[in-house]
Amino acid sequence: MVRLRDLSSWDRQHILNADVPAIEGRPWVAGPTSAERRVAIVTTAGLHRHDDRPFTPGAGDYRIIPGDCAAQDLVMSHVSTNFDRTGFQEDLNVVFPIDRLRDMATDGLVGSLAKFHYSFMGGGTHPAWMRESAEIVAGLLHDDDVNTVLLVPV
Amino acid sequence: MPNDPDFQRRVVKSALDLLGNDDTPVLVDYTEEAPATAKSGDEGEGWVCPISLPAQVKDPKEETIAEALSREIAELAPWYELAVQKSGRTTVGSSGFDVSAAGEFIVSFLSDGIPDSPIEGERVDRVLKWACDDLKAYYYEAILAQPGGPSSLDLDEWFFGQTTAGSVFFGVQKVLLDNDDEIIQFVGKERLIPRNQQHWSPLD
Repeated sequence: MVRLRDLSSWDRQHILNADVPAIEGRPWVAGPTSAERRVAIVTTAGLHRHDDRPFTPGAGDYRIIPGDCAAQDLVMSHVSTNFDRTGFQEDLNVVFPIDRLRDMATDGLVGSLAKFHYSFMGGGTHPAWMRESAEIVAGLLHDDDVNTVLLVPV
Repeated sequence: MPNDPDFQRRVVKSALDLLGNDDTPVLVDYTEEAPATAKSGDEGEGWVCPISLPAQVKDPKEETIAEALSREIAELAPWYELAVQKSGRTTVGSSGFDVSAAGEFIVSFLSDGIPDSPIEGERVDRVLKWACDDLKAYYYEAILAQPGGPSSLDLDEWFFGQTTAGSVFFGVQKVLLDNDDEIIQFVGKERLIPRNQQHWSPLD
């Protein structure tokens, strides 16, 4: 895993200085058993389908990725020019591990996958700017009977 | 770790297993290191691009930088097409331009200054960023399909230091920095060239 000591001094300070909201209390609920998990991915890789509008700087909105979307239908419009895109260029699963979840569903390690997954812009967007969209997405996930979300920060 | 399903699966499973914890908060390291890869940069040996591209501009009297960029894009086309054939996908496509049109749009900043946005309702600097991402992805995908896997740093050094496209990016950066619009200046400063490649800038 990436560690602070492995980052450039600029990146290290950037992360250490991040304005991270404090979370009050301990909002935790026990998860369902593996076989009962219906899993969705929420990634902040700025992924979207070819015909979706690309993300813009500071965007707090989201894009919907259908569960049966093929890798060749997805592109990335993440605003940062500094992070390494080569992993994504070689393998979508680096930022959107959909094939791994499909394998795990086939093997019974998770119950099922969501009909839809979601993508946000992870660079230059304060988490508070995503709040309205996040509440909408939470409702959509609930309507899809999703009880487990895999957050993939990029 | 790309193209390593077993490693990816262990990472995802480990994350999902955290949901079985009753005691909170749950904040644990994933202790398994990513498998080592035979990237050339890891050994301290210089990576050499397996695709031999001619000089960036053959002769300024005979070839403009726009023509040189167009030629370079054409020379990479067979390798890019091979890459798409191999992987079954491409990450080029954010701007909606094909790669030649993306290159023409980007290089137009050098001769004409800041053009009108080619996409109605979108700021020209946003379209420029998407076009730059597409052009860069085209170059990187063409090389990533070659044997002898370069590291991402190798690719950045090659693109920004040795290609016509890289020199066009630096030229466009200067045009943006010289503009009065603060947002356009910001895009020039932060959105075109990675921090670790600014050392190729002719402005330094």
